[in-house]
Amino acid sequence: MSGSRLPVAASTRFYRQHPLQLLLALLGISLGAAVIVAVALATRTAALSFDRSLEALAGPMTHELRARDGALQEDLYRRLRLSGNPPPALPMLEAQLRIGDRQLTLVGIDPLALPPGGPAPGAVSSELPRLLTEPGAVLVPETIAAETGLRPGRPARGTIRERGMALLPLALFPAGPGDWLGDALLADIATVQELAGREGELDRIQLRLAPGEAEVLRRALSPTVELRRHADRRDTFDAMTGAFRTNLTAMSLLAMLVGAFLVYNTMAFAVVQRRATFAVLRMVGTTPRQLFHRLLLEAAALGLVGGLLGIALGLVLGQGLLTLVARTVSDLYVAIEPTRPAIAPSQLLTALAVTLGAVLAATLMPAREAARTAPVALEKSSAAPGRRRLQAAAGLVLLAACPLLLAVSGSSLLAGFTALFLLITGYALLCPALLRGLLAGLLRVLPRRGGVGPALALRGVESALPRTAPALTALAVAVAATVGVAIMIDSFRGSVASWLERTLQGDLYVYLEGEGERLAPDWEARLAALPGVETVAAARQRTLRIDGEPLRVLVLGANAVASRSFAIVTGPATAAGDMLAAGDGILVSEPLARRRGLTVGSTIELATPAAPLTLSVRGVYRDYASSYGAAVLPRALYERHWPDRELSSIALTLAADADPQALRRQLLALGAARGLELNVNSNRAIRDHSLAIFDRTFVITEVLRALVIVVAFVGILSALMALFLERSREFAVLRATGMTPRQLLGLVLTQAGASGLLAGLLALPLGGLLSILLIDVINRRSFGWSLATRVDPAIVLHSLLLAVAAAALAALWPARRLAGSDLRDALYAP
Amino acid sequence: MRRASLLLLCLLGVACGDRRPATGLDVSSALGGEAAAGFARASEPRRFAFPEDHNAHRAFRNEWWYFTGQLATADGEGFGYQVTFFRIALAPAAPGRSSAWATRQVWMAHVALSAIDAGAHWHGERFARAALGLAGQQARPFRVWLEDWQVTGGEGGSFPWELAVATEDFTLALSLSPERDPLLQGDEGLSQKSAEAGNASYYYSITRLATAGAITVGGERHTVTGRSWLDREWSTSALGADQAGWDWFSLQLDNGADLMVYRLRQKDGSTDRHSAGTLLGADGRRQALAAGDFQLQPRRWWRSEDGTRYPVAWRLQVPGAGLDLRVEALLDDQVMDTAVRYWEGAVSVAEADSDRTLGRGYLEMTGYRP
Repeated sequence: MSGSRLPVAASTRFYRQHPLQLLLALLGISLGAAVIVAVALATRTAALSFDRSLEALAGPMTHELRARDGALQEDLYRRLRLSGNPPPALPMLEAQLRIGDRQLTLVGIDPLALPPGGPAPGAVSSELPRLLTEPGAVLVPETIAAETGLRPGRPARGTIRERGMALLPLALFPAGPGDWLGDALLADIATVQELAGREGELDRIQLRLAPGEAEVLRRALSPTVELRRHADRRDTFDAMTGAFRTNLTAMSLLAMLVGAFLVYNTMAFAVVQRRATFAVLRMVGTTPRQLFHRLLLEAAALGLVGGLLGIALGLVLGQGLLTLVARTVSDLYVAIEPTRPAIAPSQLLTALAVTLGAVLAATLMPAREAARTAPVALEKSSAAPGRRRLQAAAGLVLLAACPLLLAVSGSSLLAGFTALFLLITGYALLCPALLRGLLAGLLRVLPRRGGVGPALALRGVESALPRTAPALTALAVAVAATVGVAIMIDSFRGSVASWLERTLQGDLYVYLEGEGERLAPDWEARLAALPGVETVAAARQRTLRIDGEPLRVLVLGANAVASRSFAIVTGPATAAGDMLAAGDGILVSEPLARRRGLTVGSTIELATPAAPLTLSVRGVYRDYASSYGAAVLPRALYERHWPDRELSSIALTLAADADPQALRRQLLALGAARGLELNVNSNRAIRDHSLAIFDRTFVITEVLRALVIVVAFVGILSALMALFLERSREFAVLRATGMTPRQLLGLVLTQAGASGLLAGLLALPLGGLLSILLIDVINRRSFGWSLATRVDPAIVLHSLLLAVAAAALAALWPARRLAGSDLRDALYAP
Repeated sequence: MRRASLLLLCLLGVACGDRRPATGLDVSSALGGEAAAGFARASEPRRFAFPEDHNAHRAFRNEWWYFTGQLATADGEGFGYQVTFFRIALAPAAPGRSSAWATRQVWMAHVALSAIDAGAHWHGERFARAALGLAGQQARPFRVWLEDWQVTGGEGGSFPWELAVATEDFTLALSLSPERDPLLQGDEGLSQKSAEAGNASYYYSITRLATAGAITVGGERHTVTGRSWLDREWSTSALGADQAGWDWFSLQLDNGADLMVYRLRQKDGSTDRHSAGTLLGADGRRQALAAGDFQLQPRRWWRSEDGTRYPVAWRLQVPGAGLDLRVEALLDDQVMDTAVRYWEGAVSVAEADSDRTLGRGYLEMTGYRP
């Protein structure tokens, strides 16, 4: 009995005597857990926000009919309604409405078709007669009324597609984003057809179908119409943002990995420091098994407390991350409004389990070591050389497994991440041996140069290595992670910047704000006629179906600006120009090519208003605009098969003597004269804006990277502090033999700095390898983008400085304490 | 009369005690409170002409084609049905508009089936605009429709009329041929509903239509025959402000006479003096009934799920015609749980003291609240 109770007392006493150690251990564990929880919270909430906006779109309906291209003909609705026992069906037509400087969505519905029992603004009923019979009659959500100043009964002016028109707000209704039909102006469908000049057309028909009805309906539809399940859009969202979320999760696991090193370090240290105590325990009859269990129990307690603290911290941290995640998702994928933070209990449990698992795994080795060693040996020092060799060998095996795994795993993202962790773990196992080798090399060089100081300092580092190795490894891994991520981001940014340079061949770009906003076709000629304009290149942005999948397609005419703006990755360098001139074929973006296994000569099927077209891929171009994929079609081909002639944007090149600012003002005035608020931006402004979005996207990565560094810093702090505190006696001897406190401080800081430098040097190769893995494997497998690697020497320098500074900073407090301590106390301390 | 008031209750929002959570469209408020200015009013008797008057009278705000009837299979399984089309004008005149959806007319339809022996009652409700061919009325050939629910006749309204309705629960495919000439209700077809001039409707009925066809319910098809009653009414305004609801009876007696009476209830529960009726004898003699010519007394009350109590058995006396009848629901629960809730169902008619069966009919009760 006493045998099992004694170790408990020993543990408690140890941590009571070393509260800082306990605190740092808990801090490290909880930071690791916090990052996991925060990332889980942020990504889950973002997904839920999307669900909510999806629900708002769907309301009580389950399916939606849309034209595969363009608009639905209203006759489809009539036929659907007149068929036997029709399902609840709501026709909808949307228009982008500008009131003042506000861009609003106007949704036309048939109020009489609102499904019974479904949510609908009460004003639809109370204002029904006027809503149906008064031209221009609209209902206004209170939120929009507050922003625009629209008032019931007061006529207002608005613009749709360059045409001014009179609106009559009938009533306000209390609704906002998140309510079905709640975030747009509502009107009768006749009103919207007339205001938008789209008589005869619908955008979609929402349906509520019972299971089985969808298939029957689908069979009866013409091929130009598609029936989509609202729930499927969730899958699309998942597919679109999957890679992004995986990356976030990977970053949080990286933080956990570094945290695990920290725990390992703490536990190893706690064992080392208590060798004498354990020896005594063994001598009074504690069995190795009891000791082992006791240490694991201790670790479990630490893990549990740290994990719970981490969850609390993570919930706070997650709110901050959520803003970043929501912004990135909105910037890159679909606009979402972050809802209340939400996390599943299972996710919290997982975070706790991962934390506990990491803590226990990290404790396993030190605990076994402490339990297995004979009582006498316990009192002496550390890991046998045999074990060290074994560890290094294991590291080598893991490192070797890494390229093998990559070679056989095709394009699996999971395998990519596994390789990443194999690399880190293998390298970490190898670290102690590398440290030793590095030190030995340094020591062999140094003494000849004379000077006792550096040699003494390095010998101190060497003698402390068995105890500092885990902490230095953790620091090295953390620094390596920051190096790898920094190189990746830097390469990414560089690639995007040069891609933008290439893509933005025009001097000025003219377009309308807002998704789906289009310019009348005559703008092309109007702009070409302006003095100072050399060439115009018009583009249409359309969502077309390629092999059954809706994709962004850019329609371009044959001109020099368009031809030059594509960097061809696969295919002849002139593929873009050739295709546009020939008016046949298609270019696909790199992510699309990778995802669908397309290459030059592959054929795809493009849905058109009539029969589908089979087109041959003429080239694969670099594109960072969409990780989902995009394509380019020649204008001549588009105009052969589609009736619409409206434009999305027009690129202008200017004569050498033209004044871009004056021209810009002229263009704005031209737009204003037509009631249009044109966007006229220089290529530079667009590039800067794009890069700003890019930088925003990576803010979250930077934040996570900083968190990893914080975790590592806590690790190195706790390791060095414990180390130096333990060496109080040794330092006291040095003081006694004549070293001044100042010299001692210098010695300790030098040792710490040297340790940091070692860790930093070790981090560089790993960082390089990580960046290669991130750029060529992870990025390519998750987004389909190839990047040109570039290594900024500043990154290397920063990382070394970071490592040295972290180590020195960690040593500062113990060093000052040592330098100022009472010699006698230190000398005779037990 | 009844139908007038049902719709007007909708229109005026009198019966809009909408106890359900938000519904897709709250008709009572949707169609309520419209000014009557610009619409024609029923203020004096007019000449009726058939088949022309089977068609819509679009100068008036409201109009309906109201079919009820009792049918039975060869082995005596009994059914009651209701098929009603309401036309509702939202504005007196339509400005020229370019969208095919633009309209000033909307349509509402209520359908119901009571399976007497099974003790079940189903109903359905639809709305649509009179545009895009979704709903409307046309003369050649005669047709009233809301989506795929419809009544069709021959060129110029000739009989038989075919009635076709399909809901999730049941389908009706019935053929109707009149056994009697149209009966002009009220004063030569002008039916005064409250004191104010113009608060009246034009109202005629075809009290007996031989009916044959098929009812499909629960996957089973029943061949049925029986008799229907058609009410046609159009107006712009009818009910007065202090009228709360009504009890309306359409009875086909076995002796060949047909009886229509309605009692308008005041908000204080008393009988409005504009309550009225018509007795059409087997010989075709028409006898107008004023409020004082008949008495109605509830005999049994039934409480519906929402707590509303409906009088489902009545004593109806017409002393001048020597009638003392007990009218009782064939099924207690024939509540129409539509945007405006009311009770409409098949009833039996018996001699009050002997319980000898004298006929059958339909009863409508509105304005009852929990």
